[in-house]
Amino acid sequence: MIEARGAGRRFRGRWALRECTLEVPTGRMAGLVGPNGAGKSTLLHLTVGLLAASEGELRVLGGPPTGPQSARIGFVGQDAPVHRSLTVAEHLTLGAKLNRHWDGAGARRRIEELGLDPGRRAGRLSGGQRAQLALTLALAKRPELLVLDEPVAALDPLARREFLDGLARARADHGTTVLLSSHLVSDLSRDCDHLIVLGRGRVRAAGPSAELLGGRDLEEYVLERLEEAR
Amino acid sequence: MTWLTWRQYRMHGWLALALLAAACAALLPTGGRLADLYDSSGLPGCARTGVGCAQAQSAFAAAVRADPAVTSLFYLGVVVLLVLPAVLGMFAGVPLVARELESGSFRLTWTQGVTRTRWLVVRLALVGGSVLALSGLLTWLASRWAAPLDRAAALPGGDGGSALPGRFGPLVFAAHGLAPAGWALFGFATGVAAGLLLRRQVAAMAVAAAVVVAAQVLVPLVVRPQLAAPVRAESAVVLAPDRPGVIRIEGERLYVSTPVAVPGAWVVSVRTLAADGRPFTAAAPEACGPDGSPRLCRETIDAMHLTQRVEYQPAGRYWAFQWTEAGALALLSAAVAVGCAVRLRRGVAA
Repeated sequence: MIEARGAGRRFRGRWALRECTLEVPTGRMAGLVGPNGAGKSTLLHLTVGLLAASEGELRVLGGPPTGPQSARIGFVGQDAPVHRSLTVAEHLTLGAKLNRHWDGAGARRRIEELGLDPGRRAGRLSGGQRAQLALTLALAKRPELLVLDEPVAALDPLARREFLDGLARARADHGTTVLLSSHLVSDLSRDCDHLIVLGRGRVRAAGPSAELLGGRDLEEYVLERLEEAR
Repeated sequence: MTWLTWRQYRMHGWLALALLAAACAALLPTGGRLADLYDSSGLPGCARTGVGCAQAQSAFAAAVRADPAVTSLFYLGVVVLLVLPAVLGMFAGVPLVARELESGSFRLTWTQGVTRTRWLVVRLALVGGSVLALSGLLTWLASRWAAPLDRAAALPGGDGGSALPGRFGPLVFAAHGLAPAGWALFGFATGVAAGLLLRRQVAAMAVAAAVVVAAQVLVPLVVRPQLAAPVRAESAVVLAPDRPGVIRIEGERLYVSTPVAVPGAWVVSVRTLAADGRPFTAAAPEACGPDGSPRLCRETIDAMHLTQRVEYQPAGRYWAFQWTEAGALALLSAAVAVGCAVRLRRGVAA
């Protein structure tokens, strides 16, 4: 599903991510952990084609994550970005206009279930509602891979659980592969069966959770890997 | 894409239409007035027969000066068209990319099924096309409205002090004809690039405006005069009571010049040369002082055998200059747009 070989990205001479090599098989729910500034967003942006790699290569679904591939990848960026001046309904129109494959009926149903007012401007939604809107847009693409960048970091505990429940349901319905990042290990422990630890721009560990942990506590394991990196 | 672009720019669209409507409302009813002044001044006769031109010119200039509405509308039009490129850069160009970057919504828009290159190209085409249409229509209205002034300026008999500046002068040149469309595109492209590089709308607006204004000052001063070697004309300075001439004494120094009459031309420089061909500088002779008389002063100056050298771009070059400037600016804008697309392909920092 995701294959990275020595992928890296540089900004103005500074490396945000270096020599990233990893593999995420189809059907997994992969958690990407690491402290702030570890390069999580850079790796995710490379995965969804928002960035081009400065070195190495990164393939998603058997090809570079640009052009036609991007239709098969859903993305929820950090802080659930939306167009503040557009209404909820206009966001659904935007998705329908910009995507060849678009499940408009499913998106409308989801908005209804969430109890979101279609006429409300996205800028006036609560953090949890905005995250749900962004997830709805990403799911309506019927993606084979869903990538989420710190999706629950800014949410209160209730909204966090609702969001993760929605994600789990979508995964159960469509068998979508998921890659999500967090700087909080506790957000990942629930459903993730695959783990990637990033520290200071490099991969510190990557593989199936069960293999990596070997019965140890997730938080302890991550801290150990990050300690090694210092 | 078209839907999203229109949704984000519809306010701009309505404002542009309002501006066009205001320009029509101001210029269409008064356009006939300038044409009437031209017809009643005797200039059509001058154009046909070449007789009575000086009289007709001064009648026309006086009539235009006596009509404050015409004068103020002329200058208002010039100011609007000179300010337009910077305004379009700030309010149409900068938000094109920077609004998405600043709000973070690029992470939503660029991960839909449309590549960001296509996203940029469609937006550049739609908004840039509107910029071109708006500036083109405004300029066409203003140029057509001012056409009688340009016709008058192209006829002989003017004394160089006509009512309103001609279309080849440095200021009006960039506000009439084709050049304003090129400048509008340049302003727009500058705004887009500034927004992409700075990612902050307010900072990008300031930089875009500064770049456009700097270019607007530098081009007429440095670039435009170089487009073609100016025509040089020399004439002997001969002063007589019935010939207008200017004798100016500032402090101890004497300055002499005679009026320049090159219909419709852009006079680049006027210099007075001494008999040996060097620039003329001299102390004021006594004949021009308090003890002299105007006649003595004129005779003393005539005896110096001065020459006046005028360098000008003749009226016939106007459209070649307009095409060159508009074309060069359009090409430059296209290059900036291509640079933005290349930059965007690599992606922006997370």
